[in-house]
Amino acid sequence: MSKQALLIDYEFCSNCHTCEVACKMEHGYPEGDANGIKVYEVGPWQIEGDKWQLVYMPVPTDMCDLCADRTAKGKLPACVHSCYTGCMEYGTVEELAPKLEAKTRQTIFVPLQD
Amino acid sequence: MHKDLPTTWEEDDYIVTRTTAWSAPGCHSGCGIVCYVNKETGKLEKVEGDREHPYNQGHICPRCAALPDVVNSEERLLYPMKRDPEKRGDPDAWERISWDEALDLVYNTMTELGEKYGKYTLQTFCGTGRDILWQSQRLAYSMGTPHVESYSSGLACWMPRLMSYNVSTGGYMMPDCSECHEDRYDNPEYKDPEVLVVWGNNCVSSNSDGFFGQWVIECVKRGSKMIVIDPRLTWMAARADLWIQPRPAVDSAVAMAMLKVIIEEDLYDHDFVDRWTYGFDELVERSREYDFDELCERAWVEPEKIKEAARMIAAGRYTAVQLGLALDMQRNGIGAVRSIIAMLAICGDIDQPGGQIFTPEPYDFHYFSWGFDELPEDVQKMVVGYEEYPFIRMGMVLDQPDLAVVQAEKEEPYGFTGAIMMGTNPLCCMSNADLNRVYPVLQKLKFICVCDWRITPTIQALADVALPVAMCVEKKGMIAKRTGACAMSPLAGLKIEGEPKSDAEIVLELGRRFNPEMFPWNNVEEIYDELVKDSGWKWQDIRDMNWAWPGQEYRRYEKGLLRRDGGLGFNTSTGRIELYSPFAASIGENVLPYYDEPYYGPYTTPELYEEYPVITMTGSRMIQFFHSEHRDVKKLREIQPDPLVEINDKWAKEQGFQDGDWLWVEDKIGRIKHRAKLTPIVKYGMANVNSGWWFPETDPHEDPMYGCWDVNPNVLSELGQQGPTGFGADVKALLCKIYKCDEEDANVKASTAH
Repeated sequence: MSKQALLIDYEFCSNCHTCEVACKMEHGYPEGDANGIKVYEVGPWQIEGDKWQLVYMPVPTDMCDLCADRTAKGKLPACVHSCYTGCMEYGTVEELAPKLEAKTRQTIFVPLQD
Repeated sequence: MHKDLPTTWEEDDYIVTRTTAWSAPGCHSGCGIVCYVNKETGKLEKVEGDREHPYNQGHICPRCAALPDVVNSEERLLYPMKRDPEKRGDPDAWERISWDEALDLVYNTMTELGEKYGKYTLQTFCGTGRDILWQSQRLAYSMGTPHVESYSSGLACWMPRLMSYNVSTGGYMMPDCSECHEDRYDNPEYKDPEVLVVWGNNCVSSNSDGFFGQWVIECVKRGSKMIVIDPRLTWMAARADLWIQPRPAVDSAVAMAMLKVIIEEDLYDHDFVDRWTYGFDELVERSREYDFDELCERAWVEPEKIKEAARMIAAGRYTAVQLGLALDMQRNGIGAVRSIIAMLAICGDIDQPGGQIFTPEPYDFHYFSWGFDELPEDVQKMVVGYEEYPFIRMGMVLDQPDLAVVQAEKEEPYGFTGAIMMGTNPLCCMSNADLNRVYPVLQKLKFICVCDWRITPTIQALADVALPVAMCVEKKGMIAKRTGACAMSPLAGLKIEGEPKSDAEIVLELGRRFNPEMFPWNNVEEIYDELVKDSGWKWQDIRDMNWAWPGQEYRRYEKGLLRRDGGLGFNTSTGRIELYSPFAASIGENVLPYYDEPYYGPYTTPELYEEYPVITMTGSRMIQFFHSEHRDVKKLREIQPDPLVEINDKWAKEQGFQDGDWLWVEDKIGRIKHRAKLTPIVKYGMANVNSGWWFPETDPHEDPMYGCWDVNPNVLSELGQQGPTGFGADVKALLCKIYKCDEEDANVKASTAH
């Protein structure tokens, strides 16, 4: 069976942290680092002229269960459902991998799973 | 087209309700949310975005994700409280009272003060982003006073933009990102803007003024080109097609320079100019008064960039501009906004699909100043600034704050004696102006009642009565601004702790005591029935439908849909877009767009600039906090535990500063502490401090103001430098010096745990 995955369009993560908070609320995690997803900043630095490096990257952790309870009921993972800019997609690797051809600055995470 | 969607249903252990998150806690948007209440405990456990909702289409910010933690917070104010006015600031002097006692106490005290000193000495204070605008205003009018306050210097929050639009085009406008169509991007009439300009706001963080920043991102994904004009390299600036980084508070130079390019290179729409604008020749004359290179030099922007932006704006079919708060927070912001509107007008972008569209209140919902006309004429004229600043009378009628504070200080022609505050925490935000003057003025009031959902610095330091406010999930209410009307009601199955009441309920209870004729309604539902009567529906109908979107036609000026008299054209005195404003001429104001320098700056006060060489911005929004709220919500506070000053990394290293150092930011009237964040996103010699901070974890016995005085830039901003119209104040271009706190000073009441 194909693995479950998250496609992140990191051109469009705006660093709002909704995914982190939604993950904590869904799983009942308290405040603190320990969470199923974490947003990282890459930049800012000037590449040249008007070109700047400044992107944000939500990264699922080993605590991410891809919201198995939700997806079993046909729902999206909490982070994907409420993402402020809609930069995350949920699916199987098989479904998501072809989407990488469509545009640059995307990646697929395949979190720990059985 | 309206989808027949359930409002409430059951799902596993939950009762689920679809509603709208407005408000408390505060918010400028009012997104559709889906709320999960535990069947057994009656507690709100989870909140998700409502993917069916036309406003936000399922996207939410972290504040809604964390809403259960706010609603269930142990910090909630649960019951009405009173305190002896002699014991203001004493956290142990609060006494729980019943609602009847509280309402009678507020009514009786305000009535006595009115009888003794004059009803006109009474005030209400309104904040922002909460369901308190018509409420605080109609309440004031029911007390017989015209004085509604927001001690925000130059009313520098939305009002200058509203006024500029009213003067130029006859109505408030926003970019068309399909938000007025219930079917959004699928609407057959809608087109994406070819060019979207984000000017003076980081709308993905602020989501302000009823404009949801995600719409810009969606348009960019769909192909819109984006220009960002911002002194900071925001995330949006980093991925813009063109980023212009002006010196703060001189957007009027940038806008005038662009206007010159469009006129001089003949890039405008001659047909539209001929048929639908007024005063083009005068505009051309005005633009010739300025030298292009000099404008660019003053703006600290390369001329080529301004030319490129102007050409993109003119070429876009169509172009729309998301104008932000930064345009209000400069004394010459009106000059800038009118230049920007002129630019869009002469390029033919007004009221076009994907252009700049009119976004009036749906169904003529009286969002503000509802009932002002019912005041006697002589009382209306007592609005502070009524004579001095006639623009005050257009739009939302509030006292001109700079003059109102002086009046309160000098008590000439009279001072103020009693106030009811709603949705505001003026010691921490919305004062935008010299806390050293605002605090004593508030202290002088003989009676202060504050409505809020927790004890704030304003309540702890100043209030005599505190009334507990219901959250958006606990009350009947409605948001109807710009796009559509959304009704909310208490969540099914929710167990409400304590005795909170909505701001509207409080106002109804008090208002009908003060003036039963102005509050003839039996309950809040009936008020909303009245407010949306133009829709043909009642509040309950809209609640049952979940929302109602009136929809929007384009080119309404061609169809006689903009003017109350049904005539063709725009809702202005000439029926055209007024590049030259005869109304402004009639009251002696600047009739045309203009450029001018800020009150303090490198060119206006070079000596002061030498002593205070860091141009310091403030007020940039953090999405996890709404103004002074949410510092007590752990999952949000941990995103940024302390107030940060962004300082240019190269400059900071020269000064010997390191990330995390506590620094003093000092201007000529005060100083505050922030932690250093070294970054290239601000230019060399510039800084950006946070606003709205206080520390809810502070023991109020030690400091009833919870440390806000140590960190809040209201200590730095000065009253009395409002723009020539009474609007606008340079609170985003403070001249400061920055230096390290010594060890003792650094021991601030900030969250040292982090």
